[in-house]
Amino acid sequence: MTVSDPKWLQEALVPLRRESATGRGFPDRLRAAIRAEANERSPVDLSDLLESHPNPTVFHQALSARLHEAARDFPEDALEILLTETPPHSMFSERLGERLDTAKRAPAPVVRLPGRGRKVARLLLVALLVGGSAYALLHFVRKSREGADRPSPHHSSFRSPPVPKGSRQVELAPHPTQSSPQPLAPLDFRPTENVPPPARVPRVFPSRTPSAAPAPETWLSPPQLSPPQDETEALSLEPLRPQHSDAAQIDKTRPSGLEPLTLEESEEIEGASDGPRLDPLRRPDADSDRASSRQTFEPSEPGPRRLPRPAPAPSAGSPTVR
Amino acid sequence: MSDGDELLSAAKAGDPDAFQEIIAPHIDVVWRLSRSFARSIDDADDLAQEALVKAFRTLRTFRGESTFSTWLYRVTRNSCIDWYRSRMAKSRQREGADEVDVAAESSRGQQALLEQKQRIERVRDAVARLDPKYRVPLMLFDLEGLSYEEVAAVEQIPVGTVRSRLSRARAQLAEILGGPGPHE
Repeated sequence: MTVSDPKWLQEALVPLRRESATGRGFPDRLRAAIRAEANERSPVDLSDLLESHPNPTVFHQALSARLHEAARDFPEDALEILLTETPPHSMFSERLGERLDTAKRAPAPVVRLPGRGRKVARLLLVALLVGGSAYALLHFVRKSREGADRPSPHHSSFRSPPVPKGSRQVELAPHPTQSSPQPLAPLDFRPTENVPPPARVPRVFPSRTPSAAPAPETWLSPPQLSPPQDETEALSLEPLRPQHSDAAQIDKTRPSGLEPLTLEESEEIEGASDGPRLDPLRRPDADSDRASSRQTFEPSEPGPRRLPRPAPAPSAGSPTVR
Repeated sequence: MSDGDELLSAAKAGDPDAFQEIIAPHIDVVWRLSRSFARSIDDADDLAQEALVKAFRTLRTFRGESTFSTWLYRVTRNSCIDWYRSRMAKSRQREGADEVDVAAESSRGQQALLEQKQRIERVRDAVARLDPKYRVPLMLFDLEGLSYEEVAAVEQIPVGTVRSRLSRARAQLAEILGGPGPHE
């Protein structure tokens, strides 16, 4: 017998071959670890994703699946997914990264984002969750970041560049009540004691593992949109359900489905949460119920960011968002 | 598209259940390879789990240029070597604890179990004394039954190098274990 003859080695290794990973709870722990990893995955590198999925539809599906999964249980992760693909050396990215790191280290998840980043994140998240084009929105984010150093973001028009055929183009403008740049207003994502019940919104991407309880959604306040400059810039908002712009309230407990949001539910949701609310998107035939719905969109407590009373109704057919 | 491809696609998209399914046949191999680097079962569990979670995290980088098992073993191998480099000092400290455990069992009179454990530990210690560049080919080829080509793919070295490393690994192991010499 020589060293090159593996028989002696096989005999020596027999005891090691008999060892197995099973029988000590390892598979269960591994399963839990992988599931946790699935929920806490590292942020998507959107640039990489974009390159590997040149087809906008596939890109959208891949990104939305990740986003939807993250948003279900880990809102701050959803933000991270949306925003960590910022340019590596930009001030915006650094500040955001610091704040997210701080949030991770903090006992309670407190995420404070720059006002602009928060706005972009909300817009992206809302648009993605209701079926907007992630492909176009990604370009929008890049475009808007390019102007991050401008003195006032409210004087710039954030329009996404030409997008692939079939994608929706989104025109976003600052809220008319914002006359000057907002300071870096802290946004506290800690769950409040009175968490509003989840609203019914169209679920575009079905979840595989429904969460047991809805996560705090106070960070998902609706985006602030303003009327377009002219008719040609009007935003196509059919998927956003114009009569209920509070689509950011994600239903995390219901299975996927496109159940319509009733007026009663909308009022219930609006009454349960604080903070400024948007007026619903106006419809030509919505004058009759505008008064009641407008009242519910007002903040429960008067504050400095309270929205003014709406102006007279615009011309019919213009999907105006306040 | 086959079921395997669909599972792989789902796993790459982040489906943990699909990933669990495709790694199921390989868990023992991953664990034993991890065990050859770890000084305790708990460490082996941690290391194997770390490698598999890392594989799940980086699965989207798998382009199908090799078999999934080859890719998975390579991820495991890299994790093990990282572990080896970072935890060597800590592992040495744990040898004392293992000896205490063995002594405690000896006092209970479980002689047969003790002898079996000592045999296993003797082989394991011998394997653990091998340089990782010899240890991994030995484990994959002689313990897990991979082919030269598969080991070469995992190690990303030529087949000839695999053969020479295996030869050196066996010679070193024989020397450590007091096994057959090259001229026996």
